[in-house]
Amino acid sequence: MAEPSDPGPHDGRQRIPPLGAFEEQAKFTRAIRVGDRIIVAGNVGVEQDGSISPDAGRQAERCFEQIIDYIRQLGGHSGDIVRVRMFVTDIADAMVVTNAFTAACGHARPAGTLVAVSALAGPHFKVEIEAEAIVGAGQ
Amino acid sequence: MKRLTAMAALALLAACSSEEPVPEAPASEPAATASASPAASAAPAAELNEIPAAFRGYWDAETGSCANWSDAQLTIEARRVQFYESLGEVTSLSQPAPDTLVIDFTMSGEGDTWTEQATYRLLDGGQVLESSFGDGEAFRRKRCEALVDMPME
Repeated sequence: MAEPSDPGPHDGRQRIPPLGAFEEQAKFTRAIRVGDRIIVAGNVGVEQDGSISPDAGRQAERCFEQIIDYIRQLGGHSGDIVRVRMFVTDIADAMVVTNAFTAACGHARPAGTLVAVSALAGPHFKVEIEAEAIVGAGQ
Repeated sequence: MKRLTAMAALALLAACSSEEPVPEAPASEPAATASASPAASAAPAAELNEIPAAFRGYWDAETGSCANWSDAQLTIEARRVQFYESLGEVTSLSQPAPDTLVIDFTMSGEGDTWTEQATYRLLDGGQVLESSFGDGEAFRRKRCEALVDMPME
């Protein structure tokens, strides 16, 4: 996002640039590559215009859009995804979130976990998704 | 199941360890107050060089907590807006109604640059901001006095 200034530690690990001030304050990274392994932090479904769909399926789609974008930035692609963890606040949304998972990375047949949790960062968020990829693992 | 993500833990850590106050907006930037009146800022579209004060400030989702880690936050300054992963620099402004602003932006974020037109509309006496980009659906946020360090639940 605006004015990222801290490129992070020079530890040989590749990160996507910070996308917001809080990342720099808290010193976390949304996606990091260590060797051929890429780990993507939990994503919520904020649209590119900053809005948040009330639809859990759309939120999940947006999460996967961001996850795949980050993986590409770090040299991988959607076929490299080996693990996905999906958190929903209402288990009734499991199927629409699963549908988004299938559309985004079902071709890679990654290990998948979906659990219901009591809360996410805000009540407007219904889904949070994190992922791992191994560069070169996919076809 | 009570969930405490790594990010949430970081937020807690940040909230516990940070003694820095939330930076105050520059005098000419956000800092719009709850008393700002949309009508008071109305001006002929041609004369608008800056986003009117009534629209400036910090906003979060209507159900949000105005926390500095909120992914739904929006900061509106005189000539730019910032929100999730994006920064918009104003290229032109018009105010078709006292409570409505149409802004053309040069946007940047996620490594890309693009142009976008947004419409902002003040509701509830300036305490709610409805925004829509292009043909996108409108999204409402509430006014925040500031974005504050706040532990996640």
